[in-house]
Amino acid sequence: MSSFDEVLKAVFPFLDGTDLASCMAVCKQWREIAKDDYFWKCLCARRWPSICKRPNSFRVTYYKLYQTFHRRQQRQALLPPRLCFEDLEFFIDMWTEDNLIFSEVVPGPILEAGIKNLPPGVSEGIRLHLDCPQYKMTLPVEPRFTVAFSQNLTVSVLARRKDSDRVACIINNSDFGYTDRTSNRFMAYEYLDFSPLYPFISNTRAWISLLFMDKDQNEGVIDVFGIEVDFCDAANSKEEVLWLLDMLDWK
Amino acid sequence: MSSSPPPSSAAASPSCPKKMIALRSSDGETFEIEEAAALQSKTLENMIDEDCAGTPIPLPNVTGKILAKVVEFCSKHAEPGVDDESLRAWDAEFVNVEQATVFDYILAANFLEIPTLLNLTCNVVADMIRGKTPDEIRKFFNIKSIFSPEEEEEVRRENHWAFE
Repeated sequence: MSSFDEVLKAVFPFLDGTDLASCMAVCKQWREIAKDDYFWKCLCARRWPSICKRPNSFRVTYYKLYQTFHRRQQRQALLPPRLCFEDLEFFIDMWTEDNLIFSEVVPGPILEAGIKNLPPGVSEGIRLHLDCPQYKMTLPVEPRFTVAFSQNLTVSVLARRKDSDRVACIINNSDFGYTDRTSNRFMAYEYLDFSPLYPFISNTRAWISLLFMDKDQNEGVIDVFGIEVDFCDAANSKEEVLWLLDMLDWK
Repeated sequence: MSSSPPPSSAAASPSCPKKMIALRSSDGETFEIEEAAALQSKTLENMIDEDCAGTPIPLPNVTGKILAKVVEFCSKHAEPGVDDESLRAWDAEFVNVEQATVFDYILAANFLEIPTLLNLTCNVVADMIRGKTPDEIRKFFNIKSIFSPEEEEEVRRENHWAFE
């Protein structure tokens, strides 16, 4: 019915992008007409009049241009991470004064698996903290060790990735200085160093926490049953953590 | 006080307000329209300039029924001293007709290049489409969708960006 085609061609320039997109889904005839890039060019010209000054500079159709930019994108889904826990191992060392109190190479999958069974006697606060959805890597410490708040406790964490056989620093040298009494954690942090491929990223910290039993804390001594590593400033899902690790300055 | 000379009665004078243009519809009807009204149509404007004096201008794309209304529209819009509000009300009445007639008006306005009429009539149809889902549009215009289920799915995926 070609005269109706003419009617549609006259009417379509009066529609906005959403309505024109609806027209494309009505039937084959409407779709054939509505997908003509001319109408989308008109929409683009209304939306961004300056593009008329460069008529042939876009390598995509005006349809695609309008579709992509007519509205700010919602937060994009993260691309699949290039790194997986199987590729990683972590070198964790802790000292009080000059005594090495913890020194282990922890394979990625162990941190990924977390602490399966919390020992009896841990506080509700820790359970709540570990259950909340913000992603965290934990590992059980067996046998447990004790630490006094008065001792200067320091930590360093390096990571190695097997896919490229490179090493990055997660924590160079940091003091444990902050106690979260609600979740029974004794914490240290350090700002991460990212690869030069990712400038402008700052203010993202690696946090390492000693998880301790809920005994009498007034003694100033804690009984550590687990270690937690998280990047709560920026990465709160497993994929985000893997991306963050991928972006470190691997050398 | 000197008397002004009598106005020229030459039909060719552009200041003469009553110059009539003759139009012939596809089905042989003839209509007369004032030049001022006819100039609202770019198509007619071009033809008048070419000085087809006297003989009715043939309009093979427009029937008499529609041409009568188009002449009425153009004459109204060429009338001096009509305020915007009453003109708008008149326009609303003008398009208060069957769907099929509005479509005919669009085709005529398109062919004759009458921006005011095109604007008015296209907006009427655009309003029928605005805000409706594809399904609602189909129902309104009584269209049978001839997409296969796969095409239907592809089309839905293709357009989801507009409805996020």
